[in-house]
Amino acid sequence: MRAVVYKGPRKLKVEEVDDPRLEEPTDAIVRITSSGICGSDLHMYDGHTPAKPGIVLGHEPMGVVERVGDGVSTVKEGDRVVMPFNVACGTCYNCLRGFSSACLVMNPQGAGAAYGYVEMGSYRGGQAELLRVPRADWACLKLPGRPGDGREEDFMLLADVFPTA
Amino acid sequence: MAMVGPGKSVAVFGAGPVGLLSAYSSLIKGASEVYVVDRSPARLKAAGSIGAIPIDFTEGDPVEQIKERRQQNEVIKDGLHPEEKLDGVECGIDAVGYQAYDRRNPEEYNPNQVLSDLVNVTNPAGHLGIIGAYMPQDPRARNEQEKNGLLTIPFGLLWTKGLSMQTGQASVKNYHAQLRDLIVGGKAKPSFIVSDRIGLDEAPDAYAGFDKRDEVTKAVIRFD
Repeated sequence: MRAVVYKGPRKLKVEEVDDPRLEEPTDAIVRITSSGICGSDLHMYDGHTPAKPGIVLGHEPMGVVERVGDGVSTVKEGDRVVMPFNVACGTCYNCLRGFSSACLVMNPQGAGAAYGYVEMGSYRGGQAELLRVPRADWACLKLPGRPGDGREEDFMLLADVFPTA
Repeated sequence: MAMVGPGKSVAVFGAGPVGLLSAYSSLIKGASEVYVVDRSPARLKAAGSIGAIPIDFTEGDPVEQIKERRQQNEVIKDGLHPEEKLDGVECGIDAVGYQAYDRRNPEEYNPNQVLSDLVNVTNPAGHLGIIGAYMPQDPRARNEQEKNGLLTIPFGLLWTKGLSMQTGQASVKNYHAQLRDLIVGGKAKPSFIVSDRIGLDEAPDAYAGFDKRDEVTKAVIRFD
């Protein structure tokens, strides 16, 4: 698949990378239909973080479920979904009390994980044709309508900006 | 985070995607007045288009500009409240973060700028929501302290005002279904912030455009 890859301050390249695969039974693979560029992506882009080259960027993904693992029960192939920028388990102490942004499980480097972001776990980002979504039952919010309809961008903003604001 | 609710006054620093949607969400929640501070004419125009009051910080200290306007507010002028103590706002929102421009020297970053302004513009017993990102490391900061995320803010004033402050990344899931349902129910149309729709190959150019923090308010990569 093709993806936006960080190559260093103010250097990006759209290039071919390996397709994501189901790594855990609780994963889904989502084919992206829209993906936002966020102001926090600019922190990496501008060189204001310790980001190393090679990160597939993007944490505002929405799309259509392409495949799910055996352990996924509430979403299925063909569902239109948007995911939070947070990667979280949904069941740890912090997730259960409403702080999935500080999930204790999904980032070996600290509390809180995200797609395509420095020091937020090594999850690839959503500025790509396909995205591996861990803990898909927790992450995927199902959406009405069809890809590319009049609410596509409104729904995409549910990944980060609208809830963040 | 800033405890916005019906009738409250709000100042939002930054009219990027998050600042514009903070103002929009504040108005949905019933805020009485929402000020939005930026320097980009395009972004300030967008803030005005949703019913917020644009404040251009190149025209003078935004804290003073907001206080001046608040002094003209009937509730403060003629109401029961002693005006000199409530000339700011109740809710302050940082939608900028550590890559804030220094007002005196706009070519330079000053990570203390917005935090200081917020402490100054927010009324006693008010609330600050620090949405804008601050990092423990900033390799391109202007000095050693700031490279390690050590900032200088008026903490004494913050404490004597008794301001509450919440920081950090959103836990998106807490609001996910409710905000979707506002969209589905026709009560919210946040996509008014989207300025550019691009293909994947155009992403590097879109980053460069967005980096100017002016006319590109929000770029979305479309795969359809």
